[in-house]
Amino acid sequence: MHQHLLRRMLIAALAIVACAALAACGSSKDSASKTTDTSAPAADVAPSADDTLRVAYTADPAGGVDPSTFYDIEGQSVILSVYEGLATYAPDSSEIEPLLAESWETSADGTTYTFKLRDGVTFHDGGKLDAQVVKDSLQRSIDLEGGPSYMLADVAKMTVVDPLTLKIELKQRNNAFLSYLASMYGPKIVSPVALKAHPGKKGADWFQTNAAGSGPFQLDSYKRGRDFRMSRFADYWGDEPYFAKIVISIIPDVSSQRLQLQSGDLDLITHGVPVAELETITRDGQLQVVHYPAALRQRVSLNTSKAPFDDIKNRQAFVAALDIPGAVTATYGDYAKPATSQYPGVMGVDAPVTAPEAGDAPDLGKLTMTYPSSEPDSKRLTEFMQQSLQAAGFDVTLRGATVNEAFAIASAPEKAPEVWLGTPNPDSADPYTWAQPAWASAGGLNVYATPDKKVDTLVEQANQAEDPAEAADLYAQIGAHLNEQAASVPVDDLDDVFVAAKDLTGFQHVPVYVWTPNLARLARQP
Amino acid sequence: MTRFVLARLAGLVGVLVVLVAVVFVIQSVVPNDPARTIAGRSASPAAVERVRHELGLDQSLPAQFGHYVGRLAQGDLADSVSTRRPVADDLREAVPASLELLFCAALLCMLLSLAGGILTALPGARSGALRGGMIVAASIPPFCLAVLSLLFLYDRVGWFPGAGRVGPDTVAPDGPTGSVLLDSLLHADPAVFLDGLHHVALPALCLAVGPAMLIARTLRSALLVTLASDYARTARAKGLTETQVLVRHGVRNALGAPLTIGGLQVGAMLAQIAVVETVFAWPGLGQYTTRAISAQDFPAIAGITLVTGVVFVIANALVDVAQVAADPRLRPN
Repeated sequence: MHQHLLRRMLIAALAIVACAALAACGSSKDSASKTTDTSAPAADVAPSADDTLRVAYTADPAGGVDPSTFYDIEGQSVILSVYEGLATYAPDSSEIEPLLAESWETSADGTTYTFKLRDGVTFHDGGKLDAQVVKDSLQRSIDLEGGPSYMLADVAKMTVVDPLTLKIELKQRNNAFLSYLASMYGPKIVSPVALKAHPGKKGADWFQTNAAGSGPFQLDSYKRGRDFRMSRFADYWGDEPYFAKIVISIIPDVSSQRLQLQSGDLDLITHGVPVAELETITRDGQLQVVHYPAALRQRVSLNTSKAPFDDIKNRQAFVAALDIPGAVTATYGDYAKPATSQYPGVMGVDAPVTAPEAGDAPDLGKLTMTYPSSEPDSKRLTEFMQQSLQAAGFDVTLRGATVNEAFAIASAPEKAPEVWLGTPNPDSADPYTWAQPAWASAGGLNVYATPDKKVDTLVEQANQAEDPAEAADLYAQIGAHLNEQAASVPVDDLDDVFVAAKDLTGFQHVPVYVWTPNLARLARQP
Repeated sequence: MTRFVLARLAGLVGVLVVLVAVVFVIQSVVPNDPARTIAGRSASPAAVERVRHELGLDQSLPAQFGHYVGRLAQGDLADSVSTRRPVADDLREAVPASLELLFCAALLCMLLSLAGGILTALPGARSGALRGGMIVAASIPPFCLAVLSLLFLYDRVGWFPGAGRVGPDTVAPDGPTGSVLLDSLLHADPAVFLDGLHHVALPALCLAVGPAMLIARTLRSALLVTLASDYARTARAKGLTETQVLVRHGVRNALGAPLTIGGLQVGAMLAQIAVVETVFAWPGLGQYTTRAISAQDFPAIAGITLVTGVVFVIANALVDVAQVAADPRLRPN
């Protein structure tokens, strides 16, 4: 009797498995390992008719993908694939090169820029590029008052000289202005057709999840929490990308992303894989790790608004006990470089870091040092720092903190931890885009809102200096001043680390476009 | 009875107001500055203050709370700091995804618990081995189960997909319910339905296994009692097969306690859903909650608290009303 029942149960179970197998029909997984030569540049590989590049994001971009207000990092590869600005950065450099503007002239006093636009550029919805379109796009960025709108705050007037010439006059000289146009957050040109079709709130609602740019890819769909789907734009004015389609899936867990990459369901992870796992990834030869110097500057800030670090001697003693090179090497190995300049390495500013002389550690009581809670490698870094500090006699406790908490400190720094480790990135490669937010009294990256009138004065002088040598000297003076103050301590420049399928080739990277390889240059080795 | 129902509804409103007040108090204590987050780190102090004023954050906490409750009365849950769009719109997208996952998990849980309870109630060495396996399965936390199942069932053998609600080559319909399975049926698209089923299977299984094992053990205990009862013996004596005794008399009479436990386990699944949704990149309420908390997105947290609070309080109120309706002795005098 029981055997009869068991037999029926078994048949039912097999039926369920058969249904699952039926649902699985059609899914295919290529689990064969591939050994390929990844050295061939993308230009040598003919565009594919139907190949799809699959990438992962850990989260939706904050606020959607409106290029006039976008100010996140995740989502940047969509923005840069779909939209273009007047200028861009050359790969692996801080050299600004033309994009939608073929050339430009700057007046002697640095307040007037005349841009010659590229002829024959078509937007994804059929719109055509001209000077009025550029003017309207820039005005849109100003009017929407999004995060990056500060880049156009000095614009006094924009004049359409002719259909392909736009003159921009600034209220005052701003040496960082061109770098803003090349920034990954810089103003992007949107299609006039889309703007006309969605006039309400300047199209802000529509552009959150839709796009109409001039880039090599067009956005076919964006489903929040699911994916971005892009396809190659047939009428793109520049080089045709290899991939016909790009799918960027929202996969919050990096371990899940890595499993998908190993299984062949993803081609590229752009950030977030802990350094400790990179060695395992390269060891089995199934995947490749590609890394580039990036403008990801880790630094330690000391809370000067309260004891003990309101005393410069205490700060200097603390900084002297930080074994930064040792901690950086132990944590990141080849994937970061200990900071040698007060400025991120990509900026090329000669402002060497000098550590205070070591001495007896004063008794500063219990100190709290925070690290970004979303970065496991940062936690390891602070653990190594803690070891050297405790060896020197300091009592340091670690805790995780969020970016939002960092922003809140400025309003009540006396309630904040004594030490803060952060990983900010500058908006562009111009030193002003680091010095002002990081060190000026009202700077958004000045975690403790440490007032410093000297920096306030020097940084604006440098940004308006007519002579580049004078500007360089002013930035160097700021660096020397910071060395003395020992309140903002540069730690390292992190590399951008991409983990990719072995057959992916054609990587191109701009140091200030963090987490963002150029998707239009990627190809799959045949 | 009517007075009882109205009293429960009034209590519901009171509970929700308290919940929101708690969220507001936490917001005031935890350091965060949404105005700076939205304005951008390089925004001028004037720009940050403008955003702070637009968000009403320059008002006192009681004023902010009053303003929020006023908007809430009109169905406005404020805007998320992370997504920069109405929390109501975010929840409208996230909740159906979680409901779909929960429903499939509950269905799997029911099937697994029935099978497990019945098979282990049968005498024999196999039922002992099965019981051991069930204890092991129930002991694995859902997070571990999710990662292990991804490792083996997705990465190693490729039986299931690893993330998302549909595959990258599948275009799911855009509504009307927000459930891929339901909408694909409504649009008569069997390919999307099968793909959606394939994607929900593994996360649903991870959610269902633990509760199913618990319910199965309860069912087993109840079955052992009913199969040994006098009426079961009488049924056998009358010539019913063992299967007939099991189905007609055993299972039906043993379902009481398992059903009660099952209801509670649905709540337990809801508690685990954040972890499972994160591992499987399932864009539901759990994932939305995780991100809202890590981003200190208090409008979103308040919205989530309200939605889950409403569901929980209404469910409890319905249970109370049903109990009173079923048993007049419980009615208040």
